[in-house]
Parts: sequence; structure tokens; C-alpha cells
Amino acid sequence: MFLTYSAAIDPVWAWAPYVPDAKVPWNLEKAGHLFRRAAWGGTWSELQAAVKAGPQASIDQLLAGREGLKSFQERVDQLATPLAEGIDELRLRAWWFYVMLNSPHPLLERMTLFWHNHFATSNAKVQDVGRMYKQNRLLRTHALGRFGPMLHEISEDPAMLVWLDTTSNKKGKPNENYARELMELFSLGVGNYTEQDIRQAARAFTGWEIKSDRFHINASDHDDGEKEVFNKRNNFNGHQIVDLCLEKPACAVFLARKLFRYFVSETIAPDDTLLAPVAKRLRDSGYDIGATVGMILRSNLFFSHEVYRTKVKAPVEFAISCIHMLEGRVDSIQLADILDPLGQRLFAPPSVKGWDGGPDWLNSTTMLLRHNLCLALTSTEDRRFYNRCDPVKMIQKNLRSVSTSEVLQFLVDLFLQGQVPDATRSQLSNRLKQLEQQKYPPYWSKEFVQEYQIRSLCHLVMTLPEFQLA
Amino acid sequence: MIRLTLLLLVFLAWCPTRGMAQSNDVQESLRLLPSNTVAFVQIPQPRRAVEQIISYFHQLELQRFDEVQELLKSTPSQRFSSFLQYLEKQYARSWPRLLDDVSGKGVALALVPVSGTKDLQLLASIEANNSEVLKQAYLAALDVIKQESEQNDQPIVAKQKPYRQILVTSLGNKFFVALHQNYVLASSNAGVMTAAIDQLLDKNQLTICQNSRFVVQERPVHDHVMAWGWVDLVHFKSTAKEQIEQFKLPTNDLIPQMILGGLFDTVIRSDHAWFAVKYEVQGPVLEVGTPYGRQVSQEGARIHMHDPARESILPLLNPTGTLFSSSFYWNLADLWNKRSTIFKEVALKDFEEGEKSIRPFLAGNTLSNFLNALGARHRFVITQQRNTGYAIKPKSPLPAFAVVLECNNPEQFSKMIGLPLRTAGLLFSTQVSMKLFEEEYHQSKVAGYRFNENAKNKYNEQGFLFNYSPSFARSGKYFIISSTRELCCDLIDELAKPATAGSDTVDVRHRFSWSALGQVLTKERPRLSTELTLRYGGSQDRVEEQINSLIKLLDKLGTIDLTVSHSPGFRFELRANYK
Repeated sequence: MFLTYSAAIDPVWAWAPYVPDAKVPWNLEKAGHLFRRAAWGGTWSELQAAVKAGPQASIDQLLAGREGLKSFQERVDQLATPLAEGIDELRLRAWWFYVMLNSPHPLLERMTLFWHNHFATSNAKVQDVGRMYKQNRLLRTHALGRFGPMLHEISEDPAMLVWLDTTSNKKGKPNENYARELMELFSLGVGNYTEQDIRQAARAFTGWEIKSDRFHINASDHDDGEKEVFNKRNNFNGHQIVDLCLEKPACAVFLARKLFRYFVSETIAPDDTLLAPVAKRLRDSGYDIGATVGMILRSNLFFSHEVYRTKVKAPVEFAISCIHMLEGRVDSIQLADILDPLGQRLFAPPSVKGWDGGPDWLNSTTMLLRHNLCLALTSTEDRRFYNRCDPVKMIQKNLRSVSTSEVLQFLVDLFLQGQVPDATRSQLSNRLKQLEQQKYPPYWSKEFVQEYQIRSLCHLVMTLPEFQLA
Repeated sequence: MIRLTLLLLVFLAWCPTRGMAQSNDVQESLRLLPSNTVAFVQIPQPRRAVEQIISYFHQLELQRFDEVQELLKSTPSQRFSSFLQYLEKQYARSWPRLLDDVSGKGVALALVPVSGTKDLQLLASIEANNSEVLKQAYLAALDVIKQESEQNDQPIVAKQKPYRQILVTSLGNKFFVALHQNYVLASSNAGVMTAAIDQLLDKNQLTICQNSRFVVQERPVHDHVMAWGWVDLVHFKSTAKEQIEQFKLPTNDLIPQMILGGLFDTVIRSDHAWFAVKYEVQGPVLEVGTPYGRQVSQEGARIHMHDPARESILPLLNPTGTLFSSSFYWNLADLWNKRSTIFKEVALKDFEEGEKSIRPFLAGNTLSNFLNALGARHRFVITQQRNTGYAIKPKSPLPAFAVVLECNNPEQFSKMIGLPLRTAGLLFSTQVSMKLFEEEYHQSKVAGYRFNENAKNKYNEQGFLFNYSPSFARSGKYFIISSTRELCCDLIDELAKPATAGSDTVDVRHRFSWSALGQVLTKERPRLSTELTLRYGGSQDRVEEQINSLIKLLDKLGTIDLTVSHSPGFRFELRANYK
């Protein structure tokens, strides 16, 4: 992947709403792109419905989610209760996978994952599954809401208080960790604050602790004296420091850059000029994340050729989209276990900076593991998944014909929206011929042979390099 | 009268003939196993065994579970089922008859040494009722294996080579198979395969029945034997000489000897063991035996073996919610009194040092007095907790457990153990905040500790402490040490019930209750619902159905009993008691 600079991109054109025309038509390719970035890929019926509905209606639907979100949230919160009382992090990860796979609002889950990487908190230090779950619920509550309240609440979140040592931040012995990350990683970015700002801000968070598993300010440990932050003097408390960060113009630019990388491109390094309209939208809307994400998704740049398949699917995104597109179910506990070595262990990001992402997701080992995951899901012979994600069932549901050549075309359309290089297409055709000419055991019925061929083709398509990109 | 006498004569004449016929049958069915076989398992009637397994499957209604349904609908199961249908169609007979035709005279799987080495390899033999059907099924199976292998990226190459005019097919270098008349032989080694063919063709070859350590009469003659087998312990002991030496008496291994000395003695003395799986109406039974038991055991090993001439072990305790109950013979007084014959110098020194370090806690008594005041028949229980007695609930609820010790001199024993228990409590109270309590319960004095329900204890290891209120009490000639006050009181009630010890030879009896586990799961329904939802991802209704089925299954499984006896020989029995 090559990093290109955005100077050549006109910001006005970039963020103007995309209107389909003969040159840039709304089609399966565009619908597939939208669902890869704003959901967990699309099933055949979702893609067909999106092509029919057009971009605006499809984006509206993704932003609003499907019906039944409230009852789904209640159900999954109920499922999480025993987990939050226990100590099993694996099952909490499995629980989140279950939510991702079944939520009627996939964009909300994608954004929860985005914020988990933004406020990267690891249970390796927190050592409390209940607190990690509560933080996850907090992120979900504000995922498409307003950034300000989220930043205030995350500052008081017990998992965060432990993770960034706020609990040991006492008057006279300030711990700068939280103040530093608040400015560097959560709101402003490097270059928009001074070391003096951090030292002074840290005093404002003194005495913040956990009492009976809840946030509490210990007045005797709190430094109520005057502090100077961003050239302003007052006896600021922690929440006032958060407000000072939110007031700085750099905050909106910082968030706009992160959203750009998440939704638009990992290969374009946007300059402040390109990001200015997005940052303005954030500021004007009072940091309304949903509205800003909507602006990005509706833009010309989002649907442009320059950003098409310029992101590497993160392991979680890859696995969830495979299962979703196969229209299957899965043992979430097994999935959580399998995904660990792929490099993205939920509730355990490698550092406070989160996962680096991008090309770092792929190496010879993780590629092999991704292929094995696809094999386990599609072969129906792996005891961990059996035939819960059976491509045969999915194809029978969506395609009337069972001719293998049509099945192959269908799989290429579903997973790659028909976008494969000629060499790959010929490789797929060769494999199809090979499967058709192969000798099968005498007791295999015609259906058995056909099912075997479909599963083999499906596995092959899912392991193509193009499918690793979003 | 004459008719009765004649009948009796016929019966008497028939009995030895039947026994001989059985013995001859056994010898014939094991003819293919060479005399140096070190272990084997035989399924005398494969069809009956399979039908019985299917019958248990239906009895327990296992098909109601998603896990089982998924297994049945999985591609490998579907292919196997298709293969079976193909064979049924091909040979125009149903699978039970087909199974009888191809394996009706039994299947045996053995471990045999490769000639001139200690390397053990697998040898399997199948004896058919119908050689023609066997031949056809054999050829079809070979064909299928070859073609299935061709679906792999690296197909296994099949080669054929005759040995004494019998065609041996090899698939890779780890699987060899041959057919001769109504026999199929298979092995993981080429040398073992040719030796097996020699065994099959040469009637004068020595068989396992000529092995001096194999006693054909030990074969279970029960009608419902699903599988049975034999193990040459001499062979396995020869490969673990150092470990065996370690456990020979006198020994320096104090703790293993104290806990498993009886079993070690049995294994060391016996040259072979046999086992059998039987199917009985209430569930399957596993039996394992060796020829030598208490009579030939060494003094030191007898601390685990009661004298059959005296009273047997005590009946199992069964307070409400019992998950596990155990009754066993463990004569620690004997261990102490005869320690110089059981242990070597190092262990004896450890003993002496141990005694010195605990002497201050024995209130002027000696360890000898302490152990001699203790009896030999003890019991242990694990129960689900109805009520922990605390308002704070632990994040991980754990069951309660207790040991009930029999005392030769209960008065003296409870006085002697009181001080160490209180001292331990005092020491522990320096680490966590707790209070001593003493109360009268049904004429027994219960003493124990309760953890204070403060924030420090609440967040200590996720409230782990609130699973416990360690308590002890004397009830008649028994002394109870319990993890909770509630279980301690339940046991006082249990011990007050009239009960008499049995007169059997059993030295250890354990019972695990699946039904009680089902009751635990009923209480843990939200946790189970989460687990099953994450596992299966189905609807809430489906998950609830699965939980109900699971609780019903556990109830049907009833209990599982494990018993060990040492008279006359060693015998281990694991028995399922389905409801």
C-alpha cells in the first residue's frame, strides 16, 4: 500500500453529496463498498435492496439501524449480566461478537469498535470484566451520539480510571497519565498542547477514584488550587479540563482525521484543508458523531475510485463479515478463541494507542490463519462450526440455479461485487474445471458432489487477496 | 422324581460343556492375537454393542440437543450415513444384518510388540459370519478410502503386495490391511501385519491364550458384555521401572503413599489387569480388576484396605443438595504405628520434623495420641449451597464441602483438634477480617468463623470469601470439618439418622449426582442461558428449550457410583444409574 497525499483532492468536491450519474453510477459495486465500510459487508438480499433503494436511502437506513434495537439491547445486556459478575474475559469477547453478528444496527457496533480503539483500554491491567463491560456499554451509548458527553463519561469510567492510573493521582503527587492521553490520544493530538498544560491538567484530576465500584471524588485528595491550562487560569476541575480540550479547534480536526482513516482511506494522508469541512461539521453540530459519519458516507470522496478497497479488513471485521455474508451463525466462544492469534484481541488492545491497523494486520502467519478460518467456516467439517455457515444453504436461498458456473459468478458478485482481475477470474475457472473433472466416491450422491464443489469454490473466493480489503 | 433326576443330570452335564464351549470360543476368537500381545480389547458382538449404544442414545433423548443434531447433520456424519445406505442397497440387507455378516464373530484391537523391539503397534482383527459379504464390503471400503483420499490435496498412495498368497494393501506407511476368508486384519506396521498373517495361516502358532499371565477364566461371562480386555502389566512396569521402584515399600514418597498406597501395591504386585464394559438396564458399567488384593498386600498398603472380617465402610452421607458423596477406609493410626515398615529414612525424618512443628498446637498431646484417637472410616461430601448466610453474594459461587471423621476416642480427638483449628483461624484473621462464632445446634456445639461483610472482603478476589464460613463440630463419635456453617448443621442432622454399615468388601465408595448438578444449573439459569446463546447463537426460546432438555437429561442420568475393593482381588467398578 502506498501513502498518497491529499493536496490534489478538492475539499469542496470531496465532501459534496454523491449523486449517481452515468459516469459514477449507483450499482452493486458501490453498494458493496458502502456495506463493507459502514456494516459487516452485505448479504445478497441486503445488497440487492440497497441497489434498488439508492445511496441516500441505504445510508439513512445504515445510520438509523433496523427495527428492534431497543429490545435487542435489553436482551444482550441481560446476557452480559452473569459475565459482568464473573472473571471470564474470553466470554465477554464472545458476547461482543454475538452482539456484532446479531445487532440490528451494524454501524453502531462498528462505531463501538472504533471508540474501543480510540479509548483503547485493556483488561490486562484493569483485571475486571464487569468494568470492561460497563465501558463497552458506555461507548455503545455514545457511539453515534455526541463526543463531548462521551469524553466526560469516559474520564469517570472505572476501567479508564484504573487503566490510566487516575486512581493513584493524588494531591501533591499528581499522576500525569490520564491528562497526557486525554490531550494526545483522545482529543487533540501531538503538537496541540504543552508539557506544562499536561502537568497542570493532571492536578485537576487528582482525587478521582473508585468507591463501591463507582466514580467518586475524594475531596481530601483533590487539588483545588489554581491551574494554568492552554493559557487560561482558574481552579479547574477534571471536567473543566475536558471542556477546555473540546473547545480547542484542534479537537475537531483530530477526530475528523481519525474518522477519515476509519471510513475513507488508510492510503491517503489527509491534510488539514481536506479535513476542514468535516471538522467544521463536527464543531457546528456540537460534535455530533452520527451526523459527521453521515456526511462522510454520503460524500463524493467516499464513493470515489481513489478510496475503493484501500483499507485492510481488521481481523474482527474480516471474521464478522465472512459469517454475516454467509448468513450463518457461529459459536462465538470458539470465534473469540480463534481470533486471538489474528492480532486483534478485543478488550486487550496492545497499548493505549490501540491497534495500528492497516497493512500491519497482514503477514504470512495471519494470512494463513485467515485462510484456515474461512476453511473452518465453509467446509462444514470443522467441529467448531459444523454447518452453521453452510455456503450451500446460503446459495440455495439466494440463487435458483445450481449450475456451478453460475454459482461461481454469484460468489464473485456477492463477496467481491464482480471486481476481480482477469488472472484471478481465470484461476477460479480452472479450479471449477478441476472440480468438475474430479472423481468422487461411488456413494456420493449428485447433491453431495455439488455441495462439495460449492464449498470449495466459496472457500477459494473468500481467500482471494481482494477479499482481505474493505 | 426320576424326571427331576434326569433333568438334574442333563443340567450338570451341560454346565461344564457350556463352560468349556465358552472357553473354547474365547480361545478361538483370540487365536489371531499372538502370545506376546501386551493389551487387547475385544467386542464380542459388535451389532449388539452398537444397538445398545443407540438404545442409550434414545433412552437419554440425546437427539433433543443442538450439539447432537449438528453432529448428526455434519458433513462427515451425512457421508457416513450415505455410505451405509449405499452398502445396504448394494448388498440388499439392513445395516444390523450387514454388521452381523461382516463382524458377527467379533472385533479385537490389540497392542503388540514389533519383533525384536519394545515398539508397540496396533493390530486389529475382524471375524465375519459371511465371508462373501465381508469380501465385497472390504473391497468397497478400500475403494472408498482411496477415493476419499483423492479429495485431499495430498492423496495417500495405495499399494498392494502379496504375502503368503494374501494381498496386503498399504495406505501410506502407517496402515496395512488384508482379507483372508472371513477375517480382515489391519495394522499400523508391516512387520506386525505379516506376523498376523502367519498367525492366521499356521494353526500351531502360540496365541495370547498360551500367555501365562492371561487367565481365560477371568473373562467376564456376563451376557451383556459390550467390550472386554486385558493388559500385561509386566510389560508396562518394565518400561517404568524407576517409577515402580519409587513406590515399593518401604518408600520415601510420603504423600502419594498416604493417598494411593493401596492402588500402588495392587499394581506393583499384579502381573496383569482385565477390564470389561457391560450394558445393564440402568446404564453401562465399567469394571477393572487385578488378581491380587488385601491378602497378599504389604502391611503399609493396608491403610486403604479394611479387614473384610470386620465392619465395612460407613454408608454415604446424603444431605440436601449433595453433588458428591464419598465414604472410604483410611487408617492413619496404622500408618503412624507401622511407619517404620512403610517409609524409608527420609520420609521418617519428614514425619518426625512434621510432628515437632505441630506439637505446640496439640495442647500437650502427641501426634500418635492424635492419630490413634482418630478412626479409619471417614466420609466426604460436596453440596450445592442453599444459603451462604451472607448478604453479599460472591461473583463465582462455589459449592460447600465437608469431611466427617470417625473417631476411636471422640472426646479426646475433639479436644486435641480444637486447638489447631482455632490457632489456624487466629492466624488467618490477621490476613482477612472475620469473627469467631459458637452455637448450640441439636445438642452439638458448632464453632466457626464468619467473614465480615465489609468492602475490603467484598472486593477481595471478587467476594470469593463469602462462599465460606469454616466450621467444625462433634456429633457422637464423628467430628465434622465443614467449609460452611450451614453444611455443618445439615451433617449433624444427617448423622443423627439411624444408619448401619454394610457388610461388603468395598473400601472406597464415591457417588456423583447428575440430578443434583441439574438442580445447581436450575439456579444458574441466567449464566447457562448466556453460555448457550454464545455457543449456538439461536433464539431465546430455543436456548430455553435446550436448558430444559439439559436439566431433564441430568435428572435422567441419575447418579454415577465408583467403588473400589481389595478382597479377594482388586476390583474397580464405575456404574451409571440412569433413572
